[in-house]
Amino acid sequence: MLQPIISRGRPLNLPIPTGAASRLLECIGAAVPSPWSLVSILDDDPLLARRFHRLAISTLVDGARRGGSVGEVVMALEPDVLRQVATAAAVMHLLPASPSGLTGEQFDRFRFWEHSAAVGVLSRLMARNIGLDPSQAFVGGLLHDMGRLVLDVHFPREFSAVLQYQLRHDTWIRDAEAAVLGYDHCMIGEQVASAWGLSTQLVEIIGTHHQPERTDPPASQLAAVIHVADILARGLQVGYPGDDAIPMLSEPTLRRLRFNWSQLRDCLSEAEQSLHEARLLVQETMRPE
Amino acid sequence: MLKRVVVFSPNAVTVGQVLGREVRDSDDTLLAPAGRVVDQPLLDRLRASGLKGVPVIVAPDSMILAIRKAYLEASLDHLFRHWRFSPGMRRLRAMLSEHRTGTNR
Repeated sequence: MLQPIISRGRPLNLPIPTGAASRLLECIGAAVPSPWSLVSILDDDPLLARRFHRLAISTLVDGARRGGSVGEVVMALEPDVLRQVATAAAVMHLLPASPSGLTGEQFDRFRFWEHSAAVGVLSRLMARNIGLDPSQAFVGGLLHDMGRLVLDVHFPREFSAVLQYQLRHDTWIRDAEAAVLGYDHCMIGEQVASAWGLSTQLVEIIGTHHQPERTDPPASQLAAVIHVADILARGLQVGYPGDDAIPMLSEPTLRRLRFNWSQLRDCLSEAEQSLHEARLLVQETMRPE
Repeated sequence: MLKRVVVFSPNAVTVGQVLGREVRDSDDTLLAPAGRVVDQPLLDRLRASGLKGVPVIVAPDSMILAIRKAYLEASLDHLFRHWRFSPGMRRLRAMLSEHRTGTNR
């Protein structure tokens, strides 16, 4: 059970999902989600349907199903993958790149999603290499920093103060969040993910991706993969994660994953084509109607 | 041939070219400093800004490569500025530099 975040002496009011994305999250939260209900929800919102369809293509390792309609994709996906794709589509829909918030050019949500998508494709690649579920890794990487978007979309004044603090003190944005708000994007991200009914795996990734070895017990291997992928994406400077200072790569995490430097190098070489895919994914899911 | 600066239409600029002078939009907001290597997001911004011309360095390939490498190293120095004394992070920085300049191939 997560402890509520206390802000100014009161529990923080978490944003509540609305519209078709909210119904989508509710639908996939059921023990056995009904594909027909899911199609009907997607039919009600063409932009959400487009995001779902595009994400299904990126999430699947097998691109052969690329041609189908939304309904065909829903029927063809394994229930677990369906849940992951629908979760990612709903969160992207609830935290869109535009319109930009109060922070405007200071925090470019479009480029932020580009960074997140790059973490998604790098995580997918690493997961495949070490025998973890690539689609779970992709969605985990895509949504790992959703807490920061929650701050920009739902707490713009506070987030603007975070960005100003970060510029003034040349700190990591996560340290600026903690200094200004008393909590960081990992904490609010995991609270919101839990409140919106995201899987426990995703909640864990969102909450622990910066320090996967510091929790007790240590975070899952998937969270560890996303930690490494996040650092690599920052090093490749794809998109904009919110600041221009790379956080510490946890070497114990690398050792736990049995990743050595040579494998990391290979992973970077393999990732080149996928990074182009990450940019395309954001362009195609986040451009206005 | 020495390097020179030629003004191209934004649609003729390509990823990997180097800006010869700083570029500002009609509100005098800085879009990119001189010496910045054009990447896809910058190219999109330049094309969307309504500029008529973009000053780009024209020089022999070897000189362009050297400018790009210097830009990348400066950019990695900035990214890793908090980790100058961490052996692990220095190793990561070196690996990224090799990967991004193609010297690991």
